[in-house]
Amino acid sequence: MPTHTVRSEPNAAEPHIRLRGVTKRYDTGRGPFDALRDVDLDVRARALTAIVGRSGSGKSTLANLVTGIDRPTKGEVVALGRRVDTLGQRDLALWRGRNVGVVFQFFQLLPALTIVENVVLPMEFAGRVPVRERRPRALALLERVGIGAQAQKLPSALSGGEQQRAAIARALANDPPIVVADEPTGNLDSHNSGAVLELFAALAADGRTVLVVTHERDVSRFADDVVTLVDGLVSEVRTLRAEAANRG
Amino acid sequence: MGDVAWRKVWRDLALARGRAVLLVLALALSLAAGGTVASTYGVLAREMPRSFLASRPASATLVLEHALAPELLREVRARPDLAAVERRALVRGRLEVAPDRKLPLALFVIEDFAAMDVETVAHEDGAWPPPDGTLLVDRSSLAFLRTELGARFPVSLREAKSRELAISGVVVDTGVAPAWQEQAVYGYVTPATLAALGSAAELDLVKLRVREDALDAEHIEAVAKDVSAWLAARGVPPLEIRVPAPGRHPHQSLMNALVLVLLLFSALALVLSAVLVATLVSGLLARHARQIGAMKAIGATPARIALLYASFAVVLGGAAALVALGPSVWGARRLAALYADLSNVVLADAAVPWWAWAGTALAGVLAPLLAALPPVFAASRATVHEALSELGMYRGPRGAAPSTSGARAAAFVGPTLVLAWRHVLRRRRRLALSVLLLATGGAVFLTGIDVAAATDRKLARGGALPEYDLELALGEPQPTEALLERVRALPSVAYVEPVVSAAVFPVRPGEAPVSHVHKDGGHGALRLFAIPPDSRFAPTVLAGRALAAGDVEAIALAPSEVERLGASIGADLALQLGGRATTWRVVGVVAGIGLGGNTGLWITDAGYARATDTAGKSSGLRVIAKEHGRAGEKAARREIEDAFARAGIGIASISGASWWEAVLRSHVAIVRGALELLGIVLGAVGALTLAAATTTGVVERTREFGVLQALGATPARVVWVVVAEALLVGLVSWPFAAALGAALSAWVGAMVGPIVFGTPLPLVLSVPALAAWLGVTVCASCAAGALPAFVASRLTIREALAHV
Repeated sequence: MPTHTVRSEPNAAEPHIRLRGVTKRYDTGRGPFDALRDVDLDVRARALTAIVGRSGSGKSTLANLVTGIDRPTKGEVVALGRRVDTLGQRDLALWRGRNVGVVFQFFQLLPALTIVENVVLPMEFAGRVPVRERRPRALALLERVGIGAQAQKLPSALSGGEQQRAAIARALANDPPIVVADEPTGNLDSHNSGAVLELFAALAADGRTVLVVTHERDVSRFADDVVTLVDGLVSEVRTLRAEAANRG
Repeated sequence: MGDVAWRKVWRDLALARGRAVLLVLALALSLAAGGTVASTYGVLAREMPRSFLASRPASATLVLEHALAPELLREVRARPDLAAVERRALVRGRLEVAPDRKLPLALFVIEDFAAMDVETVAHEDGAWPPPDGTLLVDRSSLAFLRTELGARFPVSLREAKSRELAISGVVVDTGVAPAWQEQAVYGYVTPATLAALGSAAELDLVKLRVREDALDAEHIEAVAKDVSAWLAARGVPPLEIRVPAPGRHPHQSLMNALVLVLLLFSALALVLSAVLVATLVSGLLARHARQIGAMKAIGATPARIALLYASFAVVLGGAAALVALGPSVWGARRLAALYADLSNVVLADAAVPWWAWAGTALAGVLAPLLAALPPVFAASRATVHEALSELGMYRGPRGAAPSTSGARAAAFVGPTLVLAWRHVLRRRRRLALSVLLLATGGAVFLTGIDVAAATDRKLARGGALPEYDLELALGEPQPTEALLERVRALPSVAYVEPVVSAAVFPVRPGEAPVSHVHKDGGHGALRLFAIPPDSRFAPTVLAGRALAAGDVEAIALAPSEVERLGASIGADLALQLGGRATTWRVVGVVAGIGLGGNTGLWITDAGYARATDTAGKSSGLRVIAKEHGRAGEKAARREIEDAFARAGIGIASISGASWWEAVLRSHVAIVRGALELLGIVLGAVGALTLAAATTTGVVERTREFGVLQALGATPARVVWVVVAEALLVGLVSWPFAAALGAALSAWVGAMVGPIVFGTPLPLVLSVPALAAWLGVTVCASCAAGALPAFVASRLTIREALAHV
């Protein structure tokens, strides 16, 4: 099985996310289906890694395994030095809340809460940010993503792009070292898509490990690394930054 | 839980406010019903004994042959173990309310009204004490007679002549059952009034009230026996010692059974109403599946999720408890007052005990929480992946495609009904809850009607009512043959035979005879019937043999008497009869009739005559009228009274089948009314549940309705899909209501029947009631589905498809 390990630059940091021998099998009406097959992958720290591939190639499955939303059938998933695949539900929830910011394709904002309250909610769950600092922090995050003026509105009053920005702000609520986004631009127009991807690039530049599953064709503008999946296998891993440096 | 999480709870409730209001109302209704019954029980459990004891009931009564001499009375009063001693008399007669209607009258003769200190009555209105030549009546008797102060009624005692007495005052006597239940009148007179009525009766009862341990039956019996022995040593041996169950109202057991039945049903209502809230929470959880996934993805632990959604149950339950508390306290006061009137009890304090309303409030909060915990735990344990995969649309059945016959059936009924039916089966737990609630409401309602129908059948088929139309007790024994001849000659009489009915009590050799007769001389009494061996009204033999010609020492007992007396076939039984100690051989166990239990002892008329030296004489008759029913009974009664009046034969009492029926029905009426009312309440709860469940289902499938409309479904068809779903749930619940109702009816009949009729009520399933409940279910189900259906049909396709 082809496996690829990204050759790191000299003095690069240890990978924040590591998959070894990961297989994910689903039982369907037509028999078992392997969404991922014996995947080995290292995701560089403090870089934006794009996961690309056709529909059904296993991109979302890989993202779900990294965040602990799903568990592998075989293999290990290690993030920030912890075996994510063996954590219990409670520990996984706490670990995820503190260490991983998740951004969904369909935003998944809670409709009964205002935008700022949606951003405060993960802080309540993690319990790390003092109560008095939560709201100011949430407002600051919303300003950072460009929708500070929408803070008091309900999600249904925002456009798709604004909702996705709110979801990104929510993902940053507990200042996680890892951000995982599954098709974050899947429901957005091109203008908003570009803006959202630029946000992710900025997060990586800030020192976070960002993993983005995307259908976007031109990933080179924002990604540092690109992992291509084909039929549940890692077919290619490209380090764009190295290429860019070589070209420069 | 943090501030934002709490806001989510409140806002989610606000978004679902329509459904939440429905469920809070349904829950509050159940809580109010249950709280009312529980609070009523709390009031009555406290006040019934208190009211009864406030009348200073006699601990024991000694029955003498003559009035106790004043000097002996003084000496008995001086005993340190007695708080009060008084002479009384209880004389039975009849009070004429109409030319053709005379009611049994129990006259309590009181020596000194002003100095009453045992078996007291409270003055309520009019004169106190009653002037000579008048009588006081118990307030329930005044209501029963539908008359007022000053009214005059002819009163006749054992002697033939009747005299008019005016009602000069009203009293409250909490020591007797209400007049309407006993179909009798209670009067209170002075000894002078008794004499003026032509009675030779004396103050032959000595009422004793012990100073200490007033609720200790053994102590009371010991004191009474000691006094009896003391009197016997002075040449005044008591004929009988009466020691009723201390502190116990004569109708305590009936009231206890009724309250127990209502308490059980109210507990059932509380449990089911808690399930209501679980229904909403389940629906909410299904609808919020993706939100739950998102929260878990951003760090919410299963415990947080559980706490968040369990809070819905607590909030709804708390709101319902707040709404229900006021009505339940108000309802309890009204219901307790009603019971008090029905039982002739005085409520000194109608305040609901704190534990009743606290329990109601706690149940309102805890029960929904406990019921909601399973779905909450299940949802909190779902993985993020599972939760986020929930699309909010029905995915379709898993497994094999429908069979050929199923496909044909589906083609026959059409896609709309198929869709409705599959949606009904989609959420099986919710379906089960809705069906259970509707079925329970129907079952209780049906039980109330079935109990009434069972009563009717019991009365119609016999075994509960005597087979004769009239039973007479004469003032004095009369020559039997002349008596029979006189009655046989009457045109309205088809058959007559002699009978004697006497109160007896067991005796042990060397001991004074002790009975457990109540103040009214009826409750707790052992009743003996002396009949001819070839009597047409002989009881049915259950074991051993029947009485035969020549039996002068044989006795047959009803099963309850066998148990009460500890007797067995072949054993001897010593009884005090007519002032004499007699011994009988038990030859059989027979089916008795009568109110208050499977009662009665039977001997032959020859045996009675031998024991009491009354050969050739009878003091009672049983008559079958030529025409059955009230008219025939009335005609026969009139003719007999006229004939006996002409002959100077005094009638102590006449009771007819219609009177017995009225007494029995009055005892059952309370149970029946309570069950029907509770059934209506539970039925309303069930309908509200279905409305809430249907509304929840509509909200869950909003996008689906958008798809239906996009495919060409008219608003009317959308309405029909929803209404059909509610209707199908209602129809599914009906057979369960019928089955559960049958089981409940059997249980209630087994509980109430023995107390009222001596045997369980037969199981009667009222077909009109079943049909009526089917109609109610159909209407309620359509109504329950109508509003959510209307809402679903008004959504635009765009709104519906955009719904998340």
